[in-house]
Amino acid sequence: MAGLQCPNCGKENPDFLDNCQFCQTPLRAESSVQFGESPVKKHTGELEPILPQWLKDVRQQARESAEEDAAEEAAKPKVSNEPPDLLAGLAAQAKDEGEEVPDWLAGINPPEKTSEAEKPSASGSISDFFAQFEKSEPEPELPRVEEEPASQSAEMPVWMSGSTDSAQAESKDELSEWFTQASMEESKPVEIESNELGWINDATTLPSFNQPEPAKEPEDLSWLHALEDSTKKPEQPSSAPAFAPDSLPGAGASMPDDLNWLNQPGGSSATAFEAPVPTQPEEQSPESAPEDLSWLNSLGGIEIPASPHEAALPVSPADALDWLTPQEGQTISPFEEKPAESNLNWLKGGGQETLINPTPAESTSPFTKIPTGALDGGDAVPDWLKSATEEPSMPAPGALSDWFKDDDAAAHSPLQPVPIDPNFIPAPMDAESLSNQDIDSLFSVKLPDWMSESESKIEGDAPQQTPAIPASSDESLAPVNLPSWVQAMRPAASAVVAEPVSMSEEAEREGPLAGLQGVIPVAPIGSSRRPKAVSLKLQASNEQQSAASILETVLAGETTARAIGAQSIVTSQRILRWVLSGLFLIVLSAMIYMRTQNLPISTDLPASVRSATSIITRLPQNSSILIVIDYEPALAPELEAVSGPLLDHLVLTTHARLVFISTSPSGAGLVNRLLLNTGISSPAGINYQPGTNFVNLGYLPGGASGVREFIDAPSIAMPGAVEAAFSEYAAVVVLTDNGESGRLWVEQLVAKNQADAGYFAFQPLLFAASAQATPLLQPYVDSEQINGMVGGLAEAARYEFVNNSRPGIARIYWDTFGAGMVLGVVMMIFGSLWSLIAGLRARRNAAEAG
Amino acid sequence: MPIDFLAGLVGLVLTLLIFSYLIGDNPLFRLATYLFIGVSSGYAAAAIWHFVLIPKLFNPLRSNDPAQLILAVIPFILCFTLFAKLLPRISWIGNFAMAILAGVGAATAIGGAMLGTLIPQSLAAMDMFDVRGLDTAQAFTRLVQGAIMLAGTVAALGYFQFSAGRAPDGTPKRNAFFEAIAWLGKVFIAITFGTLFAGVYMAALTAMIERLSSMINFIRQLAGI
Repeated sequence: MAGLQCPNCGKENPDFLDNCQFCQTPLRAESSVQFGESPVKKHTGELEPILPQWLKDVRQQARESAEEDAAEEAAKPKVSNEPPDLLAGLAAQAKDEGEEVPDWLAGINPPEKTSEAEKPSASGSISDFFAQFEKSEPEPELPRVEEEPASQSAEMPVWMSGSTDSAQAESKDELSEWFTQASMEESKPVEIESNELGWINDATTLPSFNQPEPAKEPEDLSWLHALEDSTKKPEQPSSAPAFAPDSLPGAGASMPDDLNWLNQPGGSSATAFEAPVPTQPEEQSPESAPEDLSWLNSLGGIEIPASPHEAALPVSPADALDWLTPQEGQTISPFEEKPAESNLNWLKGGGQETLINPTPAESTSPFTKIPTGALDGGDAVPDWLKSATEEPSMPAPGALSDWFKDDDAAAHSPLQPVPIDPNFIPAPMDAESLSNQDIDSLFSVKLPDWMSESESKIEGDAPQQTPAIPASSDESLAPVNLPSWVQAMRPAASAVVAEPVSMSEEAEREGPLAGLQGVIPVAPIGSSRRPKAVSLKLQASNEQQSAASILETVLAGETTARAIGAQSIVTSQRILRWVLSGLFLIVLSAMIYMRTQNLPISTDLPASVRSATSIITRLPQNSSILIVIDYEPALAPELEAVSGPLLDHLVLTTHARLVFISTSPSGAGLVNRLLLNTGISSPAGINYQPGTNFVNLGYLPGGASGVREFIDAPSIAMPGAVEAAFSEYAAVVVLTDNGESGRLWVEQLVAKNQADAGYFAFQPLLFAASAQATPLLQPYVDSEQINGMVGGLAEAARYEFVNNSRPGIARIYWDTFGAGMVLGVVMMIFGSLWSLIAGLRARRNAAEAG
Repeated sequence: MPIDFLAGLVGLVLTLLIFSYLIGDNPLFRLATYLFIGVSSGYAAAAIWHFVLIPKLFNPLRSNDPAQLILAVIPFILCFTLFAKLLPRISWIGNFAMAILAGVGAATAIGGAMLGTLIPQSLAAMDMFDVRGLDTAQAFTRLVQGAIMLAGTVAALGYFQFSAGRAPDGTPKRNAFFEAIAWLGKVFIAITFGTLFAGVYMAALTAMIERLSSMINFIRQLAGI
């Protein structure tokens, strides 16, 4: 057996499978019709050759009789109230071979029949099967029906004859009574309220249909039992009039429409209950083809409502076949146990054009609402057919919408809340009993070979046809244009996203859609609508992005390790340091050792020194001079050399009383060294005596606060101070090596002077500053906040030279200082050139290295 | 004499120990450093005890004047609370004294800076262009000097002005005018740094000369030269 390869998974599958057994992918492109695709008609004419000869003859006879009937009907006056002959397709089949489908098969297709039935000319080919329900008085038909089969029983198939033979007596009485009772009841218009629409979604809300009739008679379907028994007795001659013997193999050609019953079970719904009454029984001759099935008219003893205005009870095809279904309490074991798969597909496939994807409503809808408009007369086309083609209009206020009555929605609805007359005896409405499966099983108990063969053939093709649904088939009841207001009320159209909807691959097992496949779209639950991914991208302007990039660059620069410049060899650094240190030591030591004083000293004093000299000369004699020691021991030699000329000049000029105060703890101990080195306190010098000529008040704590306190109250700030007021000091001389600490005295003195004008307006402020503090104090000298200043050894040497070379410290250092300055300058220049040359060499090497 | 000799000798040895740093860090250098720190701290403690605590804290408590005694107790209590800083659990006790020190010191420093530096220096920069009472030569010299000082001050302040616009490529960049001012300010700042370095160099050179001179003189004395 050649297998089929799955186009999806590539696995081999048996050729009898339509879908891949692994991935359920259709193996044949033509095997299934997807949802939304139109079914493709297949030519079933190829089945013609396989038909038995007797059936071919029957078909030929049917064509001929149909032509004759058409001619007769054309000659007759038109009867407007005649029910549409849905089976007229058999008689009106085209004889040309160019027709795609044999007419006898197309006649079974209900939608095509509807198109045919809409034609007034086709009214003449009304089937007696439907005409019987239009008769107001079916009773007269019964004798005629009973007469006909008697002569034809010999030609009837044994399986049919047997069934009719055994069932005619009981079933006729029971079912006819049932139909009569149902038809005699005054039909009530269907009233469906808006709040009753829930039955559409819930089939269980129709218990009334399932309520068994308490008045059932157990022998209602006994004829079915007889039918079953008759199948076991093919030899028994049958007198049943239901099937004309001529229509069966070997029968004569006098019964051309005897196979119309084949169209009914799988075809359109029975319109008998809505057919108008005025059909005259006498108009149908016993010899005419429509009367061949007249036995069915009397089978149930149906009483057609006499008045056409009486609304017929909407009956679905299943309802119409309820007479075949057993009632509750009856024992119908053989047929009830038939599997559900035994449907009427064999009829569809064998008797009409093969509809690949039959509409579920056609095949499984147990209830089909039949409009009652046809009873009004005047139109040969029933309303239920019109409703399929006509566009419904806006319903009148309070009235039931036409679309709701007639359109496919009603047709597709499994159940309808129809008010049930208490006297109405419904057949059991179980899923099994309501479907046509029982009917199918009824006729499939024992079928002729030709039917069995056809059925088996069709069933072989059935799996290929069932999965898809012709959603857009013109032959179904689907193409109904809903009014705009109804469309606006339908939330599904707007709610359902246009996403590909997959169809269920599994056949329905329960409910009205049992046995169908691919009817209900399978929508993914919870995953069909995923929330759109929200973009987290910030909407930043160009400026913000540039700022962010700058910040990122800055942060990257902070975290990126900078390449450290290539360090020279440590030994070279150490050697260089040793070389430089050695040069300084050697040069300076040599200069000191030689005690040379050959370098000249300029006599041009700087302005600040000149101002200081001028102030000192103007100070009063024997006045108290405040000397502030504001330097550390490390720079004591410099400050001693710088302040020496100033103090010597001051002492020699004014013989002032020196009051020493220190702003550093170690400053107090430097006072004696200062006076000793400058020669003020030395016996060989001025020989100032402590306590008499000078006073060391000690350390003044508190920084600026201490200075301010001392300025405000010297005796309180420094208990050893003799002067009660700061104004008692004739001058303030600050010896400092730090510009910041020296600035405190300037600031606090100026602040006190501005707060108390004239407090010490004429109290000079002199500075002897280290060379490193001079640049910081020079602005205060320029602003005249400092009246005079001697800064550094250079100025001190000049001042000392002007001061008669006293005390001479500056001059001793001056040559060595000069040599050290030159050495320092030379080293710095040489080092700069060395660095420049080394840099150029490095660049050249780098350039050569690429 | 022996004291002067010992003092000179100690000075010579310690100086050599410090000079030993020229050949690298060594225990002799560290020994000299530790001695210097210890002697300085001890001297500072003695100086504070002698020049601050005794005359300003304890002596007032022996006063017979009740007013002066009360005024002496308050700083004594505040000073005593500062010892609480040694114990973290009760360090909060010394916060009040510390607040007084910080507040009074800051207020004094800020007031002095405003009145003694900012305003007078600003006025002095303006007065450089006041040529009243000066002859032409002096006026010209003063104006040139004042212009250089003003340019240096403005340029140096402009160098520390970091507000900038944005270049087309997004990088911050000052406009051309401020860029020129900043460049000029950088020149003046470089000159100032050079001046400060020269002052430091001269101060250090003077100290070194003094040290070498003392050593050589001590050796000369020892040698009898």
